[in-house]
Amino acid sequence: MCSDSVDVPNMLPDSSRIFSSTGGLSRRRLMQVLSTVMAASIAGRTSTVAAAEPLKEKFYAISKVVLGKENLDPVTSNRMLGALLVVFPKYENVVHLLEGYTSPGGSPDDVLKRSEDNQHQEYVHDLVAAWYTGTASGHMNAPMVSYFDALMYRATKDALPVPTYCFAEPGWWTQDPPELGIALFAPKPITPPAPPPVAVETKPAPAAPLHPHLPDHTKSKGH
Amino acid sequence: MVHSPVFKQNGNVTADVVVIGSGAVGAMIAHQLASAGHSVVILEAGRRFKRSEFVERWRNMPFYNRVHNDFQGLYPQSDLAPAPLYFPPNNYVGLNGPNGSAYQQGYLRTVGGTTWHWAASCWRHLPVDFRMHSTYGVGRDWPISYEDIEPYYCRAEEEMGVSGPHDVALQSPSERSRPYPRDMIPFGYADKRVAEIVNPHGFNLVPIPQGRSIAPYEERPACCGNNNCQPICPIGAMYSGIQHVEKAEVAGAVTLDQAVVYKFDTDERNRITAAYWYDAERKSHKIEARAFVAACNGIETPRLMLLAANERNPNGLANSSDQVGRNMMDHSGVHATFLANEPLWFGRGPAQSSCIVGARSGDFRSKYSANKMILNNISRVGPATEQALALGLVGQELDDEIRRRAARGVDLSISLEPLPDPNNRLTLSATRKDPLGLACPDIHYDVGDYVREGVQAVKDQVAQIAALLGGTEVKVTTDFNANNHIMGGCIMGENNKDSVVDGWCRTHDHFNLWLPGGAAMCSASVVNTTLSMVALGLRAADSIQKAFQNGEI
Repeated sequence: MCSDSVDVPNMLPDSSRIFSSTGGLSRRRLMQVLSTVMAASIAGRTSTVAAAEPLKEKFYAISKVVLGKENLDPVTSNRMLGALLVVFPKYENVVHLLEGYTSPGGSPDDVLKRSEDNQHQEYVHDLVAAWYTGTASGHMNAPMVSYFDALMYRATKDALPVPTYCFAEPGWWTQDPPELGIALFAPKPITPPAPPPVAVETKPAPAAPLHPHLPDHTKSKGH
Repeated sequence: MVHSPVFKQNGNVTADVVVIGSGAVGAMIAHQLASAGHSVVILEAGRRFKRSEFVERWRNMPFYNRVHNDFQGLYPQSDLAPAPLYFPPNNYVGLNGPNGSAYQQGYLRTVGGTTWHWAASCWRHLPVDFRMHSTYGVGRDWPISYEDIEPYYCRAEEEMGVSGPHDVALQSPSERSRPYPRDMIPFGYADKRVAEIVNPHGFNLVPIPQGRSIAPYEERPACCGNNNCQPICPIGAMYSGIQHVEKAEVAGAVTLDQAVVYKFDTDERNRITAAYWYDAERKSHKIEARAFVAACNGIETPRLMLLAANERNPNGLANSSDQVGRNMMDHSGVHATFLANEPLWFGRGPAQSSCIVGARSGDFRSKYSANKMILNNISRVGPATEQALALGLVGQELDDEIRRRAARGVDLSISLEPLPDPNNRLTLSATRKDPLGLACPDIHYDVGDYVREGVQAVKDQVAQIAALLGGTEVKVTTDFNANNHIMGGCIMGENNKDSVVDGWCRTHDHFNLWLPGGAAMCSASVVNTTLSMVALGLRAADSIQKAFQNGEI
């Protein structure tokens, strides 16, 4: 079951990972991704990528362990797998590889550490990023899977609506936001610099003959 | 009494007025003239879609596109009338010059125009902005004054249902003859907190006058803080030109989409007698009218004037001054981002809410550009996620870091004021053609030393603001970004020696052709252009009505 024996010959080299922690991406790889994506016609078709039932179940199971979350939508999971198979033709091998790091269970940190021991941590990061962003890769026109349910929104759902949705009451934003509930700084407090002297130039007083005007709704109705 | 355009079997039309372009300016003119009983045809190069389709396309857009502001990609383009695209770039507008890359404008060619994806900021110019040369010795003076346009600002605010501060101390400018139709959109926590901190130091944070309301306005629902004004308000609470397209149609105007105008006929007095357009099947049609309006903003209007060169006007229509396509402007801007040392929670409420205008004007403008700094109120969850993922975090640490960065994140969108420069010029490409074989636009752009000097002031001010907010990870972008506030191209002036249109946006060369909107603007100020464009459009509409009444056309 150990992942070391799993063959991943066509996976990307580390220097061109999709969700690279360094942000790097080769032009060649970008073009590969774009052409693959165009062939898949971005949204809609990714869910049609065939994935065997055991693979889907396996992907769902490893996702829960890698993310440290039980309450993942199985339909989204299937679609995410389909999208990842579009971006990574050999993604099935990655699923098997990740299974090796997740089958002992443990926290996401545990999984990450096990993968780091074999220099496979990028596969963990890619999976995490896909679920958090709802997109199978971090680049332009990548296959899209989930919007409202992208995990990034869970972390702030008490304070911020998912854009295009709202908290169902005009003016709700005048209420105080919730407590942050976590340490403001991480990993350690940062001492901000002292404010420097300020010197914004002020504008001259209005010189136009029109004068400031207080509201007069009676007058405005006459227009 | 409503008059209707007369359509012939071959697709040709006769009408009183043809309005080319269906954005806020064109639609409002069409609405006014159709309401006055004139027969009106609106010709729009792009396609027509429903709001719900744009919303769904936005939600289905990949994370990278959304978080990097792909505001064009959700608006399907006509096969025959492209507009700029950047994900990836389609090279429709060829950019060159020292700051060509700063002029990547994102405008829409679709029924309703670019106010589908604006932020609904409805600013007025300052009175002094109309007197830049006589006051500061830079730029140009307008042929009209603030007092001339002020009644039209009022009308524009009422047509667009603008919410702005009734408190005079919060108005910018405060010279007004009527109150805003609605009081300001109330501040969220972030606006209030930042104002408390920076205003004592002269930064003057004020509410942005906005084309939305927290109560229903006419047919529009109340804004519910969906935080998606750009690129699409999902519920139609934000003003958009499509609202006046629909009003114009109720008043009798007819809109033809996928109608690409490319040629005009002129008579011996250089009056425009007809315009020609290609339909979606590349068939050419003719419309005869008494008044012609090209309301296609600062790129497509000058492009059309140049494309329409004929024997009487070999350098293009309205171009005896050789100023068509010159003096291109935009608020080339920069962004400043940092993490405050307390939770501010930007992203609650409309996507734009408040703005720092302390450096909007002053004697320094004789030397360098003014600026304004919008506190972008767009949810920071996307950027926070991108940053937290880049840190390699997983599990609870990842959730916490997203929450922390989303709460503390600040994004200042900073606009600078360019000066009109005839060398910043739109020309027709000699090599690149659109699918109809019409030359694509090329634009040479240099922000100029006035703006470059202004950037240093911006950096100093950002440093002050960031320090007041205990900012860390302070970054100011080094490349200028476009703000899609297209100005110039058919500049306004007293005569045809150095300008294209008069103070009513009527061309000097053709007395039945009006070119209202951003193309006519003589100074840029630092504020979003739409309200000024619409005010100019309403002035043009009055001018057209007067010309009808006087029997001039």
